[in-house]
Amino acid sequence: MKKTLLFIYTLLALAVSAGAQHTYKGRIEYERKVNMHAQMEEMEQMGNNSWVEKLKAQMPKFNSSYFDMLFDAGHTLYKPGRELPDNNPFKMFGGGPATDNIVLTEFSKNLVRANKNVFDQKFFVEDTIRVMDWKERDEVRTIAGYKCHKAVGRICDTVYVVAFYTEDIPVSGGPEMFGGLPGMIMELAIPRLHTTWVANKVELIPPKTEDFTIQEKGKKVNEQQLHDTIYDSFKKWGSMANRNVWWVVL
Amino acid sequence: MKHLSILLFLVVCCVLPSAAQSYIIKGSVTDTLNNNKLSMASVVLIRTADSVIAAHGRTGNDGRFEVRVKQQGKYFLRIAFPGFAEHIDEVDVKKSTTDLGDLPMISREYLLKEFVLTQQVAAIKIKGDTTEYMADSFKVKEGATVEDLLKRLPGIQVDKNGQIVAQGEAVQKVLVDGEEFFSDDPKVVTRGLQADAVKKVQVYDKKSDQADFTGIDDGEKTRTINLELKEDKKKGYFGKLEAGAGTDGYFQEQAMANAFKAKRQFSVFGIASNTDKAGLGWEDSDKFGNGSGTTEITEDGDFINRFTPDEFSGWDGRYNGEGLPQTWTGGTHYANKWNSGEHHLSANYRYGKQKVNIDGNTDVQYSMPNDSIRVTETHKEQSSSSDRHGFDVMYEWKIDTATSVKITSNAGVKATETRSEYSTDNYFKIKDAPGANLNNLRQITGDGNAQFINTDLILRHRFPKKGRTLAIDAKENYSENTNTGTLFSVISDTFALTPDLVTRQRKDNYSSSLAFSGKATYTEPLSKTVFTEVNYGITVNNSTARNLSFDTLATGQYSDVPNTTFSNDFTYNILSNAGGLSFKFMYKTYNFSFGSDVSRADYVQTDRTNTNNTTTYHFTNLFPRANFTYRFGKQTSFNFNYRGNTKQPTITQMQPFLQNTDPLNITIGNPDLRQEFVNEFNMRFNDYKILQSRFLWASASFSTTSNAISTEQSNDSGINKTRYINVDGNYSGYAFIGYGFKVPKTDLSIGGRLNGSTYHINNIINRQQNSSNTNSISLAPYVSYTKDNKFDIRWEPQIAYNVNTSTNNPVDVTYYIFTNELSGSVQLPKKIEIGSSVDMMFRQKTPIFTTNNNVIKWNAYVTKKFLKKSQLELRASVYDILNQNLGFSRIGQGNMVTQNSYNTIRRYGMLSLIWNFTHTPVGAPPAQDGGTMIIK
Repeated sequence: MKKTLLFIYTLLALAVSAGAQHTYKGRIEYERKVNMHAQMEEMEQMGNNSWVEKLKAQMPKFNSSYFDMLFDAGHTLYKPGRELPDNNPFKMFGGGPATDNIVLTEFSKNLVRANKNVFDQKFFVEDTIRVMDWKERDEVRTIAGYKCHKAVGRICDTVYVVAFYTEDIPVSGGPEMFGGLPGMIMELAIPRLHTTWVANKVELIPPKTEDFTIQEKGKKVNEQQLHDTIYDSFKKWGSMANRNVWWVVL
Repeated sequence: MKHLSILLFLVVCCVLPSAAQSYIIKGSVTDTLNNNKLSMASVVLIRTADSVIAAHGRTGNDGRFEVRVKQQGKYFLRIAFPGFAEHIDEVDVKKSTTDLGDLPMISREYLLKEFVLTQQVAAIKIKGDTTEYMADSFKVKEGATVEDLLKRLPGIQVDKNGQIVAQGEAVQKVLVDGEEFFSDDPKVVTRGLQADAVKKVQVYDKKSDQADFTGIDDGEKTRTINLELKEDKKKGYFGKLEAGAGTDGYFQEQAMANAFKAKRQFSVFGIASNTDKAGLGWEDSDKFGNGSGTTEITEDGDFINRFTPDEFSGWDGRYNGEGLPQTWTGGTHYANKWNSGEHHLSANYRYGKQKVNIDGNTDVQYSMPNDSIRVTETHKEQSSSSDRHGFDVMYEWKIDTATSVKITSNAGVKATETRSEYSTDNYFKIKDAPGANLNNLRQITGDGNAQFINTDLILRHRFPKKGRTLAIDAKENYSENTNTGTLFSVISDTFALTPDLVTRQRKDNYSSSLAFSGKATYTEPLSKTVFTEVNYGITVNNSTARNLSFDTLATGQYSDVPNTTFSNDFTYNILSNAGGLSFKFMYKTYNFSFGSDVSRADYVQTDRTNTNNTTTYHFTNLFPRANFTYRFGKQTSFNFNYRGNTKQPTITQMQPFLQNTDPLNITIGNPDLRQEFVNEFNMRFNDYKILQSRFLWASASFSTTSNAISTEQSNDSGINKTRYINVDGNYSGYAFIGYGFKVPKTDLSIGGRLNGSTYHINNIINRQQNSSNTNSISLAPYVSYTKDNKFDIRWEPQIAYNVNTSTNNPVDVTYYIFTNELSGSVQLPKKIEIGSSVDMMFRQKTPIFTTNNNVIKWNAYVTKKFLKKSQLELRASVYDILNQNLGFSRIGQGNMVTQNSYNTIRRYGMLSLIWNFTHTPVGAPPAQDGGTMIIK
């Protein structure tokens, strides 16, 4: 009897420590990190400006900002989170387009809606949930205590996206408009944009239904229209054009 | 209106499923321990072909799931639930609904308690063409060697002699962290290195340097094992010391030490033994030429100095299991890379001293016309020794991403000494009546010195256009052999009809060869899938072959003037031009290639004993080839290969040097010999299922030879004369099938192999046309059972049936050989292990070979391990407990069957102490076990 009890205790202890539970609803905080130096060097290579070196010296290598993701079985809402107190250099230099997006996904309606600010132009994107081919990769990583599998996908034909998703959160969501994997994306990396999103904590506070709302302001477009509009206006930007387009369509 | 909407509804209903073209995969998931249905378990289907996540879903409250994919085909199914081991399976989707039934899930804690073994499946990864085993996932005994580890890995076999077969093919190279490591003897690595230093074992086909460079697969592959060491082993030093003393003067001492640091490797080893367990491999003997020989040009324009060994050239230094060996060998290895791999240097030095004493009998039976046979029975006593040094160095400089230079050089010196005595009994048998009988006694001594130095410089450049490359290769090959010796021979006939023929001569032989060659290879992509390769090469070779015999004068001294009949002195100047063109078509699942090389060789032979008479030979050789490979999947492939080549007769065959070392067998030259042409067809099919540990590999090969160079044998008054002639209709073929698997949920592996071969040879015997067939078939099943760290047993019987027929002999020679190998070991408490093996061999007697050749060889050992990590091991073993071991081989070919028996190592006992040492500096991080655990 004593042995059986001990066994059950051990089992329970192991079960708890292994996080042997699903997380159905809560809040994830992502830290988005942009490698500013790498981005600068890219500009330099493109022959843009020589003041890049000077800028690099003044600028920290990484720029961080935080995003919150509220999720339950039927929805996810991704929006800018806590602000860093000090001056954000990314913002200082205009920050590029569409870096403070709000994205609402409703799985039952197969609907995604987003507010994206492209410099002075506000867009309201409405479309079905994005479908993309993710390729499973044989790598496992633990992020914020969750066991994650690696998958690789592609946007805009050539831009690779690396995701680590956990099946222990049975919601097919993720940062920005990414998702469609067997579980929540806990880390996202886009090497061409020198940017990563990594979940640094998961809070088990259930969101309220009214949290999953979005304001319908700005020019109403679907994803393709957004891409075409942006592409048209950026194509004169030369080498910067691609990067800006990618940021907008994320 | 209502009708319309009903119609619409119907249309939608009917159209939707077919438009979506989806296939349903369903099943249910249960926790086997508690018999609970698991809800919200994640179900993921990954398309095997491109690893795209094709579908995913969750189980419902009843544990059931249903997912849909758009295509038929193969998928990986992964089911995950927190706290449970992932369930991985392969699903073949063919029907519109695939019901997988109930799928079990095992909680991780339970699994860790009960099924440590199941990790084995898990610890294998397949990355492209590479199979990677995580070493720590395979339990080996403490202090085990790399060889013990390899034996544990599914798909890898190691035979008694240490030969490794991985997924059906013999492993030719064993690398350590990608470096060639005493590459002339992989056993130094597999038997000297400890298993616990290894992090990963990678098995792959190493492509040729040229294919690696151009990216165009030339089909040339070397099955290679790379041992990736643990990080902590690259910070300190580690090694092994073994000391063993046995009865009857047997000994076995071995030491190896390794100090690795990041990319730098440094190792030393030393072996002294007179058992056949260690230190006997030295694969470079072909770099040292032996005896009198000729030069052949291969399709790459390379030279092969083909030497016909004679008794004066001494022993080639390879122990082939005949006789009693003694070995002292040692070496050092250094490798390093610096400037982030831009410079790469590696060097090996090795010294070896070996002695072998042979006492043996060789019986040969020739089928002759008119129901007669000729039998020769030779008794041989031979002692030989060799002393050698070998050195090789490789330096590679990657000048930039497109250009690299690589220099390899190897050199060696060797001294050998051989003393032999032969007594031969040579007789005819017509039916059962004894015929003429000749005896020959020969005493031969030989002392040889040989040296060689070879250098190869390769410059490679890759152009910006993908697939366009240029490689320039310059080579130098130099070798020199000196042999001096004596021959004493007496031929007598038992009826004393003729006086004895006595020969007493001194022999003075010399050969040297110096060759330079240059070759340029250019590849050009004609499209994304079609590539062409053009090459041209030129070779110049100057060689000398001198064989001088000096008779004994009446004074008992050797003469200063060579005996002209048995002496010759030739120089050869050979110029060869070779060019080739080939095309390769590469697609995702298959590729094929075809092409041909043509070479023209001009020989100028100068006979220096005969007023510098020159003779010129010209040969044009053709080397067509074609290859087709189809890959059904990552582990399943089919390959068809054709090779044709002309083979020119060797100078020996056209104009042999008259040798009197074996006066009962004389070879006569034929200057009218033509080239032979060989067509060779090979087929291969491999299928390997990692998760089930199931393999199937099959291969078949067939070759025909037109104008084959064969022999005409005649026998006059007991002396056998051989002359080379061209014949048609020779062919040979073989087939092989191997199959094996692990019985699911057990520790039992079952499998077997089936071999068949046939040879058809035409020749002429005593002016009569003769055709001989040699056919054999063998079947070898195996069963093995392994309970980790407790018990293992393996049984492998084999039965082989041989038939030799010959048209001039109405009696077929047929016999069975039955062998039986049984081995096992048991772990006892207190770190004690006992093990034993029994090898049995039963050979059927034939009318000629009437001696009993049955052998039962029984070995046993007991070991006890000491210290905390069992670093110290004491081992007591007995070899051949029944003292029955026999050195024996029997080969049948053409109209002759040869049986060879010789002395070999027999019963001895040995006590050994083995110490495995490891030193890791303080502060070094602990070993990491990377990799995922996939558990089925």
